Amino acid sequence: MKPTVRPLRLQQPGRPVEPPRRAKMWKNNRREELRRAGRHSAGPGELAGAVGRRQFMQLLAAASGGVLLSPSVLLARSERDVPTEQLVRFPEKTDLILRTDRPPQLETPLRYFQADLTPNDAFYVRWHLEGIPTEVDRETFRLQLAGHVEKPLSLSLADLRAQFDPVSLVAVNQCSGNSRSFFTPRVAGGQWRNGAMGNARWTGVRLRDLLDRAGVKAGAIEVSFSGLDRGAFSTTPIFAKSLALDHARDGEVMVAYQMNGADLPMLNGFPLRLIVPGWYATYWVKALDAVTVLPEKFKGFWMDKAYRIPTSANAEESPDHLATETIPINRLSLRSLFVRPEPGEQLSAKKPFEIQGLAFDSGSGIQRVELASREGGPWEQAQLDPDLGKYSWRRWRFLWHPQTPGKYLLQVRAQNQAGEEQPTSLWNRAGYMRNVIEKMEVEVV
Amino acid sequence: MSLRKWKSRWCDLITSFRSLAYGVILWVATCHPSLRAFAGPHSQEQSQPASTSLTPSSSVRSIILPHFEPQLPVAPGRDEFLAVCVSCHSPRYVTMQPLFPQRQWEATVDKMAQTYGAQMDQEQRQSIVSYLVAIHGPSMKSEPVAPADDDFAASASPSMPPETAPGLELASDVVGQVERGLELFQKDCAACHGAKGRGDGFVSQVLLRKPKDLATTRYSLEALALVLWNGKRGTSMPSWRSLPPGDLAALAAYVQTIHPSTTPTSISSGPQPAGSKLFAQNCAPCHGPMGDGKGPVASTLLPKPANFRLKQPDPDYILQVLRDGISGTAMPAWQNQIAESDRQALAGYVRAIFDAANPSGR
Repeated sequence: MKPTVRPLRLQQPGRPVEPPRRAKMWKNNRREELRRAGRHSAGPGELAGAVGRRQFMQLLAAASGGVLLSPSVLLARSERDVPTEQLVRFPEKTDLILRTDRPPQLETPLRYFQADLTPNDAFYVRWHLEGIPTEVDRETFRLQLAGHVEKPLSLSLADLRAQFDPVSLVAVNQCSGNSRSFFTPRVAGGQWRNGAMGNARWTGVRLRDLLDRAGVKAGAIEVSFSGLDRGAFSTTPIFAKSLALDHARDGEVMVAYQMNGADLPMLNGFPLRLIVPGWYATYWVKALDAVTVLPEKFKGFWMDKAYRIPTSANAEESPDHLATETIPINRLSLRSLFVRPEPGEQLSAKKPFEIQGLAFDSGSGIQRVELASREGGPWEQAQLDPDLGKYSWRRWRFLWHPQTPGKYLLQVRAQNQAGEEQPTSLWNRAGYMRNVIEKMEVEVV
Repeated sequence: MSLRKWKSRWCDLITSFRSLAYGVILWVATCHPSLRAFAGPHSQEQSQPASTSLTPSSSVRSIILPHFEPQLPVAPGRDEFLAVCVSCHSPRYVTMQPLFPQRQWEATVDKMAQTYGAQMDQEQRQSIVSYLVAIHGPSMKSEPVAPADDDFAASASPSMPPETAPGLELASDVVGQVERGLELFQKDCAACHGAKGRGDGFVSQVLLRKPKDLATTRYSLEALALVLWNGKRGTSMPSWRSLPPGDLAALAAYVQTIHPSTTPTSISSGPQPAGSKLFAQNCAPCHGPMGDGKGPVASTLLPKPANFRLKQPDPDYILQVLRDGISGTAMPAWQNQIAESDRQALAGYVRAIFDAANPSGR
């Protein structure tokens, strides 16, 4: 049901004529336009302002048509034909890339990373256990704090808001297996591209304040965390993680009840989740309802067997020589990646293009980001956006004038204040911590 | 302003209004109830009060998950995969992986058994590995797998005769045994069968053949022993041989209590000549002339037709099944083929089979 709208190419003062490429994209690539139509949950006025009145009208028409061509129709085809980038819309979410449906793993399309804070409805989703919470009563929910403490606590959401100082920080949440699908040789696990991450402002209470209220007894060494989710069978290990007591009490680890100024989406852990800034998202336990202080080391599958990395630098090992010793995954490794151009985007030699992307680490601060457009360099420095906080990602930009058509190999690398560098290659059996110097082939016409 | 400029601005305006009109018409059209079916699974949210419900009077926040279960391609081992794997996760966990070779699938299946508690024995493990290799292994690069098929009867698995289950002993301390059974049930059965065994556990929404509502049917101990030992091929009910015999007995004892012990019989279960004839004509090909589930057609069906010597469904449940069939199985809906009075006669006859086979009542 294609609306028969012809884009008029009128020139208005001060506004460039639409490049022919856009109109062609709209006519011939319906999927592209559906993606663009599902871009924002902003209101019509803001959307019109962002993309221009003419495009807005086309988008509105296409968006309405897009509802009819939704995933359930696509699923009628044989499984073998399913494209790798199928979009689905889960509750409280916009169209996200379907990796798995049950339990859900939904990836954020790359273009949402053009915003500094990832919108709640575009934030990626990842659960381990099928029995995810789908219903929570704000009034009866309790966060239990127990174990090796003077006074166990049972706190309601209202208690957390009223009785403890709220704190906010902006932090990157990145899945340990983000970008796993790029490993060679390939490894099993969630087959993410770069979209299993997001940046948000987290608001809640310091875990330290909760622990102090309960009164940690002498001899306590660790704290464990678990949530409302569960598997179908009792034999499936409950998802539980632990941190060293000192880490838990560092004043930055927090229990968040808000994300970007709003309640956490149900799929991102409503009503509470743990925030462990600078560490991989496996520790950011969702639907947190139990905090237990321990006088001995925590024993559990998700710490002892899963989420382990080689002890070598960069968590590197080879398929022929697997590491014999492993430790739990921990700090984010230094990483930089492209947001624009997107893979497959065609650029024009005649016009400058702002290459942009992100860089982040575990909190020491990005010092420099460099770009090259050919194998071997030369490397030029990119411009860094203002710092949003040490645990936030940092946007970098580079205005590129290709001038000559052809195939280029864009590369980006970052350095941080701690002197870390990105490797050129990385492999481990679990597909964790990918942070290699990113390369993107770009065609300039 | 020149006439030309004025004209071009007017054309521009008209085009914009036309696009807007189209957009509004399309948007309104998609909200029309008859078109909602096309809008995909999330249309469920539109027909519910709200996908995120937070009415002023309620403090409960809830969402309804859509389901995008892929169809399972036909290949040997499909019903083992269905029995062992689907109760925990969607098959997409398989299909999103790269095309792994056999050894990788073996390692994965072993991890499911050893780490995540998937219930399978060695033969099932083999079948599942073969299935994974067939549908998502290296051969996929050259030849596509057979198209997905919803008809479970077409499963090409070699038939594995069910093992004779060990006899389950009811303890002298029946109350204690039932309590233990309840405890076990909550741990490992409730996710599918529901906390009260009514077939409404949270996993049940994604399963085509729904977990049984255990309150509708009276099961003999032998029936429960068989299904606990062998699982139910063609469904996601796994076999629970890993449990010690005492636990299996406790579970059986508890499950028997889910069915109310005295069922008001609206249908007499004495000799039923009319029912016998109807059964022979309509039901025997699948359920067998003796009603034991071993009809001539049964060997091609999964899940297997019910053995009425082992279980006695309630009259209301029988009438409902005769009317609507059971989705996910080959049991059809008979309401247009068999008159209501005849269906009543059939119900009485079916229940009489159990009484005749179980004179002691257990």
